[in-house]
Amino acid sequence: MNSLALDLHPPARRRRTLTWFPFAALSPSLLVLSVFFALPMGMMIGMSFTQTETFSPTLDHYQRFFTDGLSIAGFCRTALMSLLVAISVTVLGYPVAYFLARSTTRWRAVVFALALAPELAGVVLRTYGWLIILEDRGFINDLLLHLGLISSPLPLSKNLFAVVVGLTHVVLPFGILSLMTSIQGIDPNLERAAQMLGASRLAVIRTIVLPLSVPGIVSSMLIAFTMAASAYATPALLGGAGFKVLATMIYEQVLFYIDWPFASVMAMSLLLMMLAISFVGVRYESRRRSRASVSSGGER
Amino acid sequence: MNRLISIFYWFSLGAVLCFITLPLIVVVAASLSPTSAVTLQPWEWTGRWYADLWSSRWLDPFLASVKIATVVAAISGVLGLFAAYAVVYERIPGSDALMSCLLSPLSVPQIVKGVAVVLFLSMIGLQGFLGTPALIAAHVVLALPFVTRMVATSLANFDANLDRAAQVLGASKLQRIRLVVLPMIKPGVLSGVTFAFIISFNNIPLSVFLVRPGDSTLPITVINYLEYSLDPVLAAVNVASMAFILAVIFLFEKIGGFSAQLHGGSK
Amino acid sequence: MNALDIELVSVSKSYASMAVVRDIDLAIPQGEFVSILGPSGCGKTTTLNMIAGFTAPSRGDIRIKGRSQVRVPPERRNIGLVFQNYALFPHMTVTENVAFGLKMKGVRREEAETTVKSALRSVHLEGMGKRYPRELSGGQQQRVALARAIAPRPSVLLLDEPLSNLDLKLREAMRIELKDIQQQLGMTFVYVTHDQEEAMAMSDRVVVMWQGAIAQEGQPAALYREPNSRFVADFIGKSNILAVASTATQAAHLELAVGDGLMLKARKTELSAAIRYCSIRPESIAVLPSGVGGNGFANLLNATVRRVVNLGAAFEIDADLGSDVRLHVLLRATRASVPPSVGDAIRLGIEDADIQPLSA
Repeated sequence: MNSLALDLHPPARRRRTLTWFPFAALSPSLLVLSVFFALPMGMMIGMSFTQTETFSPTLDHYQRFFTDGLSIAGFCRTALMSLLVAISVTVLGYPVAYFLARSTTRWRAVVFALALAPELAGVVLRTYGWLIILEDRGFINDLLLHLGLISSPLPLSKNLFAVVVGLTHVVLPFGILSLMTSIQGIDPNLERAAQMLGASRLAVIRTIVLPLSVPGIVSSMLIAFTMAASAYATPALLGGAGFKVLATMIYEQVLFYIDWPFASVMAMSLLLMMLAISFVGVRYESRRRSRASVSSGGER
Repeated sequence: MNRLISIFYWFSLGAVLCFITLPLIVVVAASLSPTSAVTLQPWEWTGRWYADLWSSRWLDPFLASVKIATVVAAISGVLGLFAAYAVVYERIPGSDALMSCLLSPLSVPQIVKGVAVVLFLSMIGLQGFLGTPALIAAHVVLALPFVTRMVATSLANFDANLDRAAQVLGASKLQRIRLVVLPMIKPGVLSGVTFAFIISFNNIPLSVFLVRPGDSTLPITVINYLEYSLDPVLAAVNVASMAFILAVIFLFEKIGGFSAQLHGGSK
Repeated sequence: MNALDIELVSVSKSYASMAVVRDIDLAIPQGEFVSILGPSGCGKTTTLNMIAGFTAPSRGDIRIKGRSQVRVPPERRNIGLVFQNYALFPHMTVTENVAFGLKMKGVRREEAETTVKSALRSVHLEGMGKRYPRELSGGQQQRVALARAIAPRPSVLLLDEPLSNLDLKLREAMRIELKDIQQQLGMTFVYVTHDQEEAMAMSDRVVVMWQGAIAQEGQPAALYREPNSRFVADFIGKSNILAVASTATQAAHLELAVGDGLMLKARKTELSAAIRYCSIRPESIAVLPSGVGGNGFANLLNATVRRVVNLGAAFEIDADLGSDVRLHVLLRATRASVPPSVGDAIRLGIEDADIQPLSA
C-alpha cells in the first residue's frame, strides 16, 4: 500500500475536532474591542464630519478648529510641551540609564527600584507632590521666602514650567527603560577599546556611547512625546486654567460646552499628532533596520 | 578632565534620583504633617489624616475602584489569555493581522478613547450605562491589549519542544494545555492580570468621562478635590492607595508571578 | 528476518515548491541502532519529525510495526523522542517528568512508580527524583530526558542530536552509555546527528543524507572504507579527494590520471558511470624514507614535505607530489616514528585497494 498522503490532512484527528475552538476563543476579545473601541471611534470620526442639525456631511467643524485661534494655540501648546518633555526626559534619563546598563554593583538594584517605583504610585500622587512643591505657598517658594531670597512667590505652578516638570517625572521611567535597553546593547568592550586607544572619558561618551545609543534616544523621545501629548491629569492639575492643552480642552468641550462635534475634531487632531509621531518612529526604525541589514549583508 | 566628567556624572545621577523621589517624599511627609498647609515649619508627626480615611467619603470610591479593577483584571485576563492562545499558540489564519487588531487600541490616546466611548453611549441613548458598567467596559478596552501582549510574549517564548515532548509522551491537546502550556505561561498571565488591575485602579483619562456623581473612582474623587485644596488628607489617600497597590503586587507575586519567571523556562 | 519496526516508503516532503525530503526508503529492523547523519539542512530533522508525526509527509507512507502512521497523531504513535535541548518540563520534578508519559497512558500509580525508578536506575540517576531540572547539570538533564522517553516503553526511540549541548568529555562518555542502554533495552534507536564520529561510534547502521535524499547507507566501517560519492567520502572522516581526468583499464589495474599527469593504480571496480574522483584516506598512506623499500605498494610516489602538524597521537603531513597534487598524510606517532621535516623528500606508498574511485 502506498497511500497518497497529502499535506492537507491534519496529522492529528483530535485537532480537527478542535479547529473551531481558537476562533471561539478569539471572538469575545474581538467583540469587546469592536463594540467599545472600533464602533465608538468610528462614530466619533463620523461626528467630526457631520452637521449637527441636518446630519449632512460637512467640514465646518474642522474649519472652526483652524480659524478659531484658541484651538490652534492649544494644539501648538501641546506639541511644544510634549517636545520639551521629550527632551528633558531623555537628558535626565540618560545618566540613570547608563548607570543601570553598566553597573554590576548592588547599587544597581537600588537605583532600578528608585527609578521605577514612582510608576506604581500612579499619576495623582506624583502630581500632588509637585503641586505641594511648586505652589505659590508651596515648598520651594516657602523655602526661598524663608531664606529671604525672594520677596514674593515665584510663579512656578499653573504654567508650562509646572506641567513640563510634572510630566517629565511621570514619563521618566519609560525613557530610562528604553535608553537602558539601547545602552545595554552596546558592547562594553567598545568603550574599553576606545579607552585603550587613548580616548578620554568624554571622548568615549561622545564618539562611542552617544552615537551607538541614538536608537534608544529616538525611542525615548518618541515614547515621552506621545505619553506627554496624551496625558490628562498632570496638565489639568499643574497647568489648570493658565495652561490648557488639547487633552484638557477636549475634556472641557465634552463636559462643559457639550460641543461633541468640536470635541471630536480636537480628539482627531490629537490622534493625528500621535499617529504622525508614531509614523516618524516606524519610518526611522525601518530605515535603520534596512541599513543594518545592508551592512551586515556586505560583510558576508 | 576625566575626574571632572566623573564628578559631573555622579552628581547628575544623584540629582535625577532626587528629582524622582522628591515628590514621593513630600507627599508622605505631608500625609503625616499636622498643619493643613504644607510648609517647611518644624512639625510633629500625626496620624490623624489616615484616621480620616475611614469614612464613606473615601471608602466608597476606594471600594468602587477595587471592584472595577478586579472585574477588569478578571475579564481582560480571561479574554487576553484566550486571544493570545488563538493567535500565537494555534496560529490561526491571519494571525499577524489579528494581533495588530487586538493591539490597535494602544495607538489611540486614552483621552480620545474616553471621548469616543462617552459620545457613543450618549448617541445610542445609553447614558444610564455611565458609571460602573461604562468604566468596566472602557478599562477592559484599555487593559486587554496589554494583557494580550504579555500573554502572547510568554507564549512566544514558550519552548515549543515542551509541547512536542508532552505530545509524543501521549498527552492530548487539552492535557498539554492544562499540564504544560498553562503552568509555563502562568507568570505571564499573572503579570498581565496585575498590570490590568493597576492601570484600571489608577486610571484617570478614561474614567474622567465616565464617572457619575455617587459612582466615581478613587483617583477621580481625589483630582476633583485637588482642584480646590491641598488638604493633607489627600496625601494620606495617595499614600494609602500606593500601599494598597504594593500589597496587590506582593499578593500576585506570592501566587507565583514575576520572580517565578526568572526560575521558570528551560533555558 | 527481524520484524521491521519502522518503514519509510518513498517518503517526500516539500514546502511550497521546495523539496526538503525526496523519496526516502528506509526499513529499520527491531532492535537496531540507526543513525541518520548529514549536514544541517539535509532533511534529517524533517525526516525525524515525519516519523514522530509533527510533520505530515507530502507523499509516501510511514509504517511502524507494519501499520501506516500517516493519519495517527504523535500522541498515539507510541514513540519516544529525546530533544536536543532536552525539553524537560521545568515546573515538574525529575520523577514527575519521567512519570508524565506513564500518567498519560493511564498506567496505575504503583506500577508507574516502579517503572520510573527503574528508568532512573538505568540512566544512573537514582535518588535525584525530587529535584527540579534546573538543579541538574547538563549531562544529568540529558539522562532525565532519556529516562522520560524510555519509561513508557515506546516501540521506537528517536534522538535528535541529544549530545550536542554537552562538552566533549561528557559527550564521549554518553556515547558509550547510550549504546549500552540501547542494547539492554533491545529498543530500536533512530539517532539524528550531524556529528559523524558520534554516528560511527554508536550505530549498527548509518544513513547518510544529503540534499534531502539518502546519499548512502550501511555499516559504519563499510561507509568509511567504501564511500560511494565525493560527498560521503568527505563528510565521513577526512579524505584526500582528487579529481580524475581520465581512466584506463589495464590487465590488473585501473589507472586513474589525476592532477597534471600523475597516474594512480586502483583496483578494478564495477562502477558503470564514469569515474570523476578518487578518495584516499590520509592514514592509509605510508611514509617511506627516500630511495629505499616500498616494493609492496602498487603506487610509489615521490613527494616533498610542505608542512608538518603535530596532532599528538599523529602527525599530519602535507605532501606535495608535484603535478598540482597535494596529499594529507597521517603518520601515527610511535616511539619509533620520526616525522620528516619541512622540505624533506619522501616517498609515499599507497595500496591499490586504498584508492576508492568515485563517480560523483
